[in-house]
Amino acid sequence: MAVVLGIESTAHTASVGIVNEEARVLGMASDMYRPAAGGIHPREAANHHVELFPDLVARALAAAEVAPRDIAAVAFSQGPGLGPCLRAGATVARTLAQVWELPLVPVNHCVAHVEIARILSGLDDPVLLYASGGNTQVIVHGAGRYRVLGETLDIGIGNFLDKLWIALGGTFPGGPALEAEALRGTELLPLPYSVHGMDVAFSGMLTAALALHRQGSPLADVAYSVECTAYSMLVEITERALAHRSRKDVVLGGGVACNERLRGMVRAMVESRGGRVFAPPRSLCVDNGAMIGWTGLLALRAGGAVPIEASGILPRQRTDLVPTPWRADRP
Amino acid sequence: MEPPAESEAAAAPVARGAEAKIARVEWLGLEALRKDRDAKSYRPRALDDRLRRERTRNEARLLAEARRLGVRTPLVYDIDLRQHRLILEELPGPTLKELLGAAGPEAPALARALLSFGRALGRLHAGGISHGDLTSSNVIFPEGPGGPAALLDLSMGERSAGLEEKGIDLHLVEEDLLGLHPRGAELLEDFREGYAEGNPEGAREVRARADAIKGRMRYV
Repeated sequence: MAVVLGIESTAHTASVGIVNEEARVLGMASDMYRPAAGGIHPREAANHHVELFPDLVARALAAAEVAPRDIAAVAFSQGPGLGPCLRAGATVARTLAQVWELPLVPVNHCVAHVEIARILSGLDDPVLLYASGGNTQVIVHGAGRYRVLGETLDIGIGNFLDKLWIALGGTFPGGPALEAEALRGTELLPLPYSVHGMDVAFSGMLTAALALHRQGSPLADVAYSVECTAYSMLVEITERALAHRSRKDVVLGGGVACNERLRGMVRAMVESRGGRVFAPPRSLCVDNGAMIGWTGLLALRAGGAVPIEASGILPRQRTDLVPTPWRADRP
Repeated sequence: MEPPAESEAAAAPVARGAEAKIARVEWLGLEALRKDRDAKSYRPRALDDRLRRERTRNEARLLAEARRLGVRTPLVYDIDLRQHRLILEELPGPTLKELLGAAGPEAPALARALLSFGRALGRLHAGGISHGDLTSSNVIFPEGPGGPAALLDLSMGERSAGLEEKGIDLHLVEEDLLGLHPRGAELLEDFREGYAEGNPEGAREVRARADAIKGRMRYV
């Protein structure tokens, strides 16, 4: 049975995952770069990845109990992401492919979030709500590609939450701390609700939330209001995508999609429309090598291996520029 | 108590969109559509009420203003802000989404439809209004694909729209055409030609903004 090793390094997470043809994760090792203060610095994150990858590869192989000769291909995140971070992962992938004489398969990071959720959920043609640090997208398949139906027009939701939390005096990553604080909030404060068709924007809310806090609103209420308002926006654009493309089911991906309040709100919306919702377990919902390995395996079967010369990273690769020959269009 | 102007008994559900339920009703003897903005249980009640009220009011206002600009839209017969309800003229006909589907018409008819849609949006933008939710489900052809396009659901539009709002409209059209039709790129050209006719002064600037929106970095 074919086994693929996947390498993920689009942003702050370096991860190596090994999966088989049944999408079983045989072994995975991940490590997240955490800055001492402030937000993510691309070059420092990349240095972190370079230092850790040899150990992560060894640990993933040991956990999977496979030898390099058992592996069919090496897959890696080609984009979108932070250039220096992507380069670190791509360099490791090229090296392993050459040393082990294996095919090298580039993978789009966003597509990988959809594919791992699809296979784990058994849902054939769901809408993906992908909510992470840098990415906020609503994705659905159509005409041979994954299409971004809706997305953020300014900053990713995770970056928005991090920026807000750091400006309020906290540390990176802000999401989990903000979530805990929000649980104590009771009053819904008015904040800009910025939905444009199927797109959203967060920068106005950032400014308004900081102003509310300066004017004396309790931190817990600010956190609660930000979560309620921002997540309502995400659920709304997901519902619009379902209605517009006549779909019923939703899968979740990305670090922010681990948030319990968001998960509950998505579930309420999807169930009211008679659909099903699936959120991968945390380790496969955040950035991870296993989803890259799995998508690499799909791409490999469809002839997706490339020579080293054609394996350059694409920091701004758009989801809808990536062909998906392994899956058919909906009839 | 006064009897309701529209007959409930005749209410027949027509569609369920993301936001609203639409039913066919008889209103003061006229055939009409009743559009009810559903309560959304996933969001807090206060936020839900505010959004539904704002959008119902905005939709009624902008549908009327668009018509003054020469853009075909359904007539608004009645508005009930307490119930987040509109009574609208029914415009029958295929939506752009249906025309783009597998059973859609041949290329020349489709090209005419896109041209007409482009003209309508151009006029709307030239008059300072953005649509705000410009999917192909919100474009309808009451006289068939050869006739003029009508625009539906302006509830998220802006009355004094800036370049950004207009650019987003154009960006959404682009994504939709490319995502729904294998020859989306050609159809986009037809749409753009119509748009430039409807908005001769502003077309270039709005196109440029739409391109900028598409190219924006997602990692900040």
